[in-house]
Amino acid sequence: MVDDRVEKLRKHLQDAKYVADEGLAMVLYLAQRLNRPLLLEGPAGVGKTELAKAVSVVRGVELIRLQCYEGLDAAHALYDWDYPKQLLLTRAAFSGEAGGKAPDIYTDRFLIERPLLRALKTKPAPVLLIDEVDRADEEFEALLLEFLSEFQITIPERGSYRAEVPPTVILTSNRTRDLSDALRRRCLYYWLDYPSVEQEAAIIALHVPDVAPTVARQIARAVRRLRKWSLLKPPGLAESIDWARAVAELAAGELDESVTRLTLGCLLKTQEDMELVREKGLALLWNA
Amino acid sequence: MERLDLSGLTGMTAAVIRQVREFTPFLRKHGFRVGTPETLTALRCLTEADLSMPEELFLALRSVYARSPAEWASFPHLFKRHFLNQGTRLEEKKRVQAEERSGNSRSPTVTQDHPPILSFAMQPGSSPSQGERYALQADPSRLRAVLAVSKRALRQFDSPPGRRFRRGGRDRVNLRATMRGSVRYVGEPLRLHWQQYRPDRPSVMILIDISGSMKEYAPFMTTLAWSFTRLRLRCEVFVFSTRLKRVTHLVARKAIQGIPVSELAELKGGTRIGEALEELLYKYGGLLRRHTFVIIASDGFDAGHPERLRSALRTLSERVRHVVWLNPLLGDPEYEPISSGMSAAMPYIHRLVDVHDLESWRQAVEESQIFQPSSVPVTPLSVRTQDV
Repeated sequence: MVDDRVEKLRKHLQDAKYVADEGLAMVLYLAQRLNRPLLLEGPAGVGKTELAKAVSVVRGVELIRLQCYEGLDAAHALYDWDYPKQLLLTRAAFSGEAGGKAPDIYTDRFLIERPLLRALKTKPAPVLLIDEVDRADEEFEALLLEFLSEFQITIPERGSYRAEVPPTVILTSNRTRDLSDALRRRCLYYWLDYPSVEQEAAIIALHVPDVAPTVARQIARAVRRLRKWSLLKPPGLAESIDWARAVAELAAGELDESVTRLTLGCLLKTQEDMELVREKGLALLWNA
Repeated sequence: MERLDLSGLTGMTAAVIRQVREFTPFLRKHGFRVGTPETLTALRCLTEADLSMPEELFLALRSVYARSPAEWASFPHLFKRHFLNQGTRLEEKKRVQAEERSGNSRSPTVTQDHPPILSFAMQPGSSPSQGERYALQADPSRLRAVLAVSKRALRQFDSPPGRRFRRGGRDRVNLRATMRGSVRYVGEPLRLHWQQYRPDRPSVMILIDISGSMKEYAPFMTTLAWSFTRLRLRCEVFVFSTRLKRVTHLVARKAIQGIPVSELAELKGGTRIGEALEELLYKYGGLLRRHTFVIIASDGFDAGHPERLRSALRTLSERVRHVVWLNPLLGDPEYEPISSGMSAAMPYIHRLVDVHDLESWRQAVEESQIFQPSSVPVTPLSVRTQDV
């Protein structure tokens, strides 16, 4: 029975143009059932962010995205007070315009919702994407802990906000630094690796319907081979799709040396990688 | 503490619950940092999963227990061993006698004169096809002493001003606090609140050469790297031979009991420092800040192209604060750093010092002040080979 539900989720994701394997669909299903955040790690370009977008499409809810960066703090992620408005009201109160009553300046009217607070208050429960959490400081991770375990934010002046229905939270990390154990233990974990040739061909076919199935498989095999060549910037899924689009644009029935040479820029993004691939020979790619 | 609704567990037999409960200590024995919350989550997952299908159970438990790529990779094997009673059992440490190690397994048993030698599964393994590969293990007897010296080294790092502020000081007016405070005075900012940049934690990146020629010094270098992970700084540890591997989490957690060869599988024998540094610049460039101290521990014997090493090290030294090269061979009076690798690297490093054991490490830190940043512009660098 669970199998059916997981399979159904996979189908829905596929309709939203996301090809998920059984493991990923299972973890996603569990994360939703157990109300647990899902931490996705893996190389750049394997579709971690895309998964959150696809889930929001499947569930038909809003996607709220918090892009992490160094120096991100509570005022940018949780909430902030609208100080100018508070000040104007205070002045008006003391000048007698507001009837001389002491104003309450810590009300919802002056509360500026940032992504995390908005995710708690939005109905229906949205999908919250906390993207590249490894780029934020350790202090920010500590801020997230209350949110991830209780789906709650405490505002000293107001008290605690708790979500009636917890949002679906997806965190992504490229491992530019190690995340704390406290954060990891609050999440379910999934290591999202590069897809298999069959999966990648299916993804290409899904995004670029114009490309022939044989060419899609050829592209998937070539890209897989490239990833094993210890390039400085190994191609991700986006590069494969770009390449397939370029091949389709050239109306090429199949990959050959000239098509590969013309479209190599879609795949490789550094001069050193270009040189390495040319040294090894383009034939290794289009014959893949 | 997570609460478990017992009504959900009615579908499970006591045997299943016991098996799941015992899985947590079993994983802990293999280096997983898991506890009761994970057991409770796993049981909750089981109420959702179909117990008759091992694959489903596996997928569910993997996402609960595994927390890092290394754990993710080792989980299938441990799952099979615990739940399906399959796979090899390496739990028992084999006691090997000296004669056995030399290949003579039929020799008589060893007397008291020969103390038994423990052979761990993670101890050095070499294969002609892969070059010499060995496991990394910190020297347990030296941990405290090395840590104490590393703490003294930490004082030499200058802490740069961070992006964040703290109250007090005179760097900038704290507008938010001033405005909030002004509410008390009818909106008039009578009292200015000030703030100053909070000092950032020093950032250190350690690159350890683990090619065959450095094998003798590997325990000390691993201990050194471990000591840095215990200090209050941003520390990243990498090992390299022909390629580069980030091992910060392994060194921080496993350096004492040992990092097995299997964890370093992608690293083959030989040394290509230039290529490894290039990989560092492209893959982990975000970790290199202008205040980062880079420590390279290598004997400088490089099989790669010297030009690649020169170019990569030049870029690296331009991007970071300070580059210190620890060469364990410098203490040998007959050694001169004239190998192609060392010659290419010399113009771009701030300090080249002999560090091969605790005493030399103490000397380098206390007498040579190797982490005192120079005020000389970074490029071009003057070579300071005070110990040469």
